[in-house]
Amino acid sequence: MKYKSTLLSLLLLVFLTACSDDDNDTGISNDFVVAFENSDFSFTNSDSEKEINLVFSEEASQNGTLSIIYTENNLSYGTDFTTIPAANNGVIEISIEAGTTGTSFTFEKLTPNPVEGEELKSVEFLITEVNTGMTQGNTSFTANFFDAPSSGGSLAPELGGPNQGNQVYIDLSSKNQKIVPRDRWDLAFNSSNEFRVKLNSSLFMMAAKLETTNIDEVVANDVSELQNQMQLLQDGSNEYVDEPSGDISGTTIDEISITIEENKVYLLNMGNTVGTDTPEIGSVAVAGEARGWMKVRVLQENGNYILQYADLETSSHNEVTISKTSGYNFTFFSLVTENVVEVEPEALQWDLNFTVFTEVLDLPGGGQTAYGFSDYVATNVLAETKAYGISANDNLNYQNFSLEDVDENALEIDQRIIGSHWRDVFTQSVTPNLFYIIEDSDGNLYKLRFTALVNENGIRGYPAFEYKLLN
Amino acid sequence: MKYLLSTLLLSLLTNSILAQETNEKKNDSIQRNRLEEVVLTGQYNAQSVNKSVFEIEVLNQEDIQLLAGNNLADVLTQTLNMNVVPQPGKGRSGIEQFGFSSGYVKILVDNIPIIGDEGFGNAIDVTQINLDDIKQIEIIEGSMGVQYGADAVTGVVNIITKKSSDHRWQITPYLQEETVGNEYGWFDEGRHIQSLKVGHNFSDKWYAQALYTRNDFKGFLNNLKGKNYYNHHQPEPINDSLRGYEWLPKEQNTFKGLVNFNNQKYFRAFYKFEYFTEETLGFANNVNFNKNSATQTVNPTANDEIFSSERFYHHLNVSGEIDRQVNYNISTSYQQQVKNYEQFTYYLNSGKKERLDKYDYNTRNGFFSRGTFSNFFNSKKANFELGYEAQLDEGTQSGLALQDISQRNKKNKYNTYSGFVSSEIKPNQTLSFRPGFRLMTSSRFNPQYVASLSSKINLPKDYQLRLIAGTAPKLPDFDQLFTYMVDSNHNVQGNESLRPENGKSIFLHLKKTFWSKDYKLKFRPKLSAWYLDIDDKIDLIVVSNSPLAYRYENIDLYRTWGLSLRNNLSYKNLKTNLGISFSGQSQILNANENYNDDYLYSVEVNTNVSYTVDKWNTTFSTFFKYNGPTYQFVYDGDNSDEITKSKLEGFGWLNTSIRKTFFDDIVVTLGARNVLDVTRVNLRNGPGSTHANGAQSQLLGYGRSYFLKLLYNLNF
Repeated sequence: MKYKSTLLSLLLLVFLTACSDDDNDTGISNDFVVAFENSDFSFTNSDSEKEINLVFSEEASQNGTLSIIYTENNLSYGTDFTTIPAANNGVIEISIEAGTTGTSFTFEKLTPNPVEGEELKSVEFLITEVNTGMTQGNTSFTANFFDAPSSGGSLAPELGGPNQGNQVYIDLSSKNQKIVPRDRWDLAFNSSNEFRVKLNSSLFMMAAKLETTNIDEVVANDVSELQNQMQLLQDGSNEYVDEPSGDISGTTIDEISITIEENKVYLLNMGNTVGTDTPEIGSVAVAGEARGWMKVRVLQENGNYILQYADLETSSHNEVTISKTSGYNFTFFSLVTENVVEVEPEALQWDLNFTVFTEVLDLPGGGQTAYGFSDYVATNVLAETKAYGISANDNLNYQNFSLEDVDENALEIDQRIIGSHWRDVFTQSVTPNLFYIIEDSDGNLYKLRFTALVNENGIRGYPAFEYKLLN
Repeated sequence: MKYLLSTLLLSLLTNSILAQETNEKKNDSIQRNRLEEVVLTGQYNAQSVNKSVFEIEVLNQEDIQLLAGNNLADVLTQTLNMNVVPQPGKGRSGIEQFGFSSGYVKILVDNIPIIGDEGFGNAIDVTQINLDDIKQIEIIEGSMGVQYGADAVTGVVNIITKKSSDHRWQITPYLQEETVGNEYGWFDEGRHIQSLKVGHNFSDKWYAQALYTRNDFKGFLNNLKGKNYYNHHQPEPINDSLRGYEWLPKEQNTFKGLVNFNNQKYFRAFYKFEYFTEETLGFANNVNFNKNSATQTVNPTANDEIFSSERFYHHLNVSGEIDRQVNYNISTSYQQQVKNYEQFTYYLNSGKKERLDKYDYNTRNGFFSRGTFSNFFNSKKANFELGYEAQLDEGTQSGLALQDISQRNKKNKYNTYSGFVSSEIKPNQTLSFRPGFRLMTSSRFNPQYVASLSSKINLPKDYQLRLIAGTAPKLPDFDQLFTYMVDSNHNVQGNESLRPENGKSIFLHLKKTFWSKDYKLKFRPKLSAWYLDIDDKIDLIVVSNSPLAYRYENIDLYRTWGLSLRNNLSYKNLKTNLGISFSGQSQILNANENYNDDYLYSVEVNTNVSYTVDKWNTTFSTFFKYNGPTYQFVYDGDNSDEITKSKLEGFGWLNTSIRKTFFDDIVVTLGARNVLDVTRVNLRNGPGSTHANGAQSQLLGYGRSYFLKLLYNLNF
């Protein structure tokens, strides 16, 4: 009997220890890294004080200090600039507080920028020591006392999460983003010499030309067949959307003729409102309710546009004169608020537009259709922003790509170059090994690659990219 | 919870050890002189396989022990016309019978259906069905709608549990350690099972039993690299989809209780209780790097998930005779199943977890009652049975609307009330018939009429011929009824006006038992032929081309026919069987412009041999099943004229074990599952592979695994 109790005890022991299996997660331990948030900033004469941010690779687990030295180029500490906290024997010491993810110091500019002919002034700050970790990446920061294009960095366009309610205009050389609710506008009237009208493709709007020139006689009954055709994923619906390349001669609404009778009435599918549903993590909910149908007719008169518009079912219409806005690609008009609205930055002050977008797709059985894309990135084709994509390989990758590697012939003017190619919805991440070369309207050449499609919780609508000046 | 249970069991065990002295009886569990198997499924009363009008295959306890079967998925791999189909990416396993999925096979425990965590209908994860208290598994092929209602389309698997013991006390702890392929570790790899069963006869009338089993499956990494992995490619880390597990880890705890009363006269009753928990961990294969461009560092995060299921099961059964004449058997059951889903962000650097969402993934509450009444008059020539069945199901399912989480859960009720009647007519010694009919009414569907006719003919020279025809409806599942994925680019919708699918089958069995003169050799060949079809089969079809829209409709017809030959042979201590099955399946897809309804054929072979050496108290056994190549037509979405054939290569499940009993009461089983080391099986031209020569594979097994089971029978 004794062996039995022994055995039983043994079995029980195993039983209990096996049950006490613990599941502690320690993760991977990493070095604590500190760097400047940006690598440079160009001061204008209106800037007198700026917070210089330092970021940590992760939340600081303990208190510490970091030391920064500086190299002066034609200026001097105390005369042209000073810092808070102040430098002591040429070293600025900044404390790191446990639980924080960054810190900063204040830069005070004491003298104006040199005028033309004078020598350029700048100061370079360098992190020399982090007593609880190390520095890497943006280890230095240059404050320029003159105007220069940004050398790059990273940006996270605020697209608005899974509903992607914003259009975000990015200017690489000034590292600015302009955020505009994408349902602010409906029609865009070209400000160049041509008379062209563009639809808001981020709302999936469509337009179809009717036979008539009398806007008041159009009723729903006459156009019901067209209405069935003017839908996303409908064979042939590509006819009713603007050429996705962004070529202004490809708008679905014909060029506005000087001859009044040549300007027909157009049926407008107003597309969808910005979605408000919360989708499952990783999915988008960009489209809300259908916005219904309207009819428009556009004329030109004295260099201005005349817009006639009405709800589909009304037998009278409104008329508004819309003038071109010099320096901008378009004048934007909202059929909802019936006002001219501000949307794009000046034509030469943006390069990329993050937006929901209407593309044209080939259907499996032949034919084409309009199709809605989220996370789309359009280039500013009207300002001749050029771009091309490169698949990284062992020899040539984002890190080692330099000015000599730029293939001028590959640069194209087409809003679809980046498009949705940069992201992979199935893995919910950026397309691996793909980066872009972008030449802005000032001739600055940047290499750019996307670093995120989702935020750290996997939620869509939080893109991020990094870029670097090549020339 | 784990500690609590263990402590409870520990004290229970030590108390009982102290309370008793060495008064143990010999365990006669290995009874070589086996009688004919007694079966329950579809019978008015338990009776021998030979007398049953239905043709029933039995997997007995001996087979299950030699396979070291802890749950249903461990043992059904060896059954002809049946397959265990793992979904490694979900950590689950379903079954297939005649090529039809779990939803078409009714799984019963002690004659009543169990609710699972795969939504309404009948599909269940067979790894959740613990076998530590079972007597035998009875498998019937063919539609059994009259006896068992909806979803008993291709057949029935009825798990019969043990409700008595020959001993006053029976205490059975066991440990089972298994490798998962070649992965094994004391804590974080392999499969670890601990179990304790205590049975006690309080008197000759009362018996009670309690059982606890923990089955800790640590997952199968195979080519994947676990949860803290990402590719540290230089100069930039990259995603290579190698994070996580190929077969998800999960831990199950089963607690069962039984009280049985038998007045040894005209009344029996039992109450069974089960509490089951399961936790399955899901891992994102890729991470979000959350690159910090300034510091050139990454802070990788992953969207991981936990599925946790909890199930309560109560079953009260009473049976007996009224006025020593009418037999009755009434089962009443209440079952509750909750499955929660938690999504969280896992930070690989710090190990921190941050919950994103937790919600009811799938819940079901079910009340079930089934009663049968028979033997209304004393006649050797005719008997009939009246029965009722009531099933009141209520539940929710999620994941039905991707674009709007406020719409993801649907709650639904589904009540069915059925009456059924059947009659067993024996005009003479050679013939017996059993016509049956069931009327099902439900809260959702039109009344369903289900019919069956079985007959058994005793031919000259002891040949037995059985002809069994039956029908059964298959209810639409939740997705088919309620899916809603509609946005500007998509339109996929469930259809609340779907009808149940209709299954019908006809089986022919011819068998004979040969005995040697000294009754030491027994040989029983059985030849079967069948035809089974499912009409109004539900398929997701294109209902509008422009704009493109999909909806579920009752539209297809699936058919299968086949032949099988099964042979049992036993001689002294040697037991063998050999079976071969040949079957074809054809699909008529009325929604397709073009379809190919040719029959596609496949072959299955199973065999097992077991031999006991009395002198050593040792049994050697080998089980083998070969699944021949299977084919399917693949339709090209781009080009409706192009129909290709996919081929899943053949593969074999070979299991072998040695079981030895030491000191009469310690049983050690050492063996190997999947000796042929099957993991991925090639699928040629599978759906989605672009045109010719696309090679894909299906993960069907986790490779050759070794197991050691140490069981102790303490009987006194």
